[in-house]
Amino acid sequence: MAGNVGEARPLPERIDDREDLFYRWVPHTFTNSRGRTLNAGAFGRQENVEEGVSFDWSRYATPEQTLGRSARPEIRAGVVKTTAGQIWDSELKVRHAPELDNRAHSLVTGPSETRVRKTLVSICTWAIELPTEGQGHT
Amino acid sequence: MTVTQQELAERRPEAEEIEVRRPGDSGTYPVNFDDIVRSVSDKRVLATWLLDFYKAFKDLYARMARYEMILHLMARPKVSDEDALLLEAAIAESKSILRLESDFDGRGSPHYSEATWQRAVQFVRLQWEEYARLFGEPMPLPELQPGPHGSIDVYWKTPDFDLLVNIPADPKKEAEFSGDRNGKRKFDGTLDPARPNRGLVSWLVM
Repeated sequence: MAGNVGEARPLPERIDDREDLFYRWVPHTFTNSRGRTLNAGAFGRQENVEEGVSFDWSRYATPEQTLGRSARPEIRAGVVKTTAGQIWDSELKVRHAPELDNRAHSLVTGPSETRVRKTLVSICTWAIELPTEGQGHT
Repeated sequence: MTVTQQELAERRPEAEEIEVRRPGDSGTYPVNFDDIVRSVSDKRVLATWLLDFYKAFKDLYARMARYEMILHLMARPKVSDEDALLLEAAIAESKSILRLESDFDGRGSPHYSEATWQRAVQFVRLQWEEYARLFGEPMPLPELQPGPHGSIDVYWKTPDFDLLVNIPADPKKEAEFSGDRNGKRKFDGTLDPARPNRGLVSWLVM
């Protein structure tokens, strides 16, 4: 309940270090058939919920924590990463948007949804690669 | 600008000599501007001229249509059956998108409808045909990929450019696209996916 100090939403913080990393969970369905190249579908925002593409800021998250936050851990998935510097150099923006249950939550925005998704494909690399089929992360 | 009666009276066309037919006579006779002015007072002469003009216009139109058809046949795209098979294979492979169930990504994404996939396929076919018609060669093939919110992404990735076109699940919405050539010459906007897009296919080759 709002007003309870223990449940208060953390305040957003300024992101100013180019080297800061941002992580995102990616299921295998948004990779090509070889499971190595990202599809732009990996960077869809949740319609009518988010104003940008969700990432976890490395100040408050590790790639393992981002992987563990999945609502469907049985889905074969990996974690991709990019830096604040790469985001800014690509004419996108990133802002800290902490949530009650995820202080690391951040949003990447840009001129259009397709521009943001296409750009993220080119600047993200794997932090935790997809497990091979039939295996899961433990 | 107003033209006075006097100016009209003094006006002479540049090519004054033409040939006309007289009523009841199959021969043609040269006439000049003054002959024409005298003749318009005779309704039969005027009607003959109008009929001749209409017949000549019809003949000319039919001839132009024949030439246009010949040119169209000559300009038929030089795309091989093998190229067409590659397109069909890419389309067939993309049909696996339809097997994804709702919440396949753990984020509540809906499944992909056959109608959305058909619109994406139609979009690719239309651009492929337009490209072949304009440039006489096969278009670089895009991949059809699962997009967000039940939409389908059509994605071209080549060493020279990449272009993402998103076909939305809602048929009333336009498709949004973004492309660039190695970070330069950015190309963004929306388009009607149900039509061939000359601007888009031209951008693919430039």
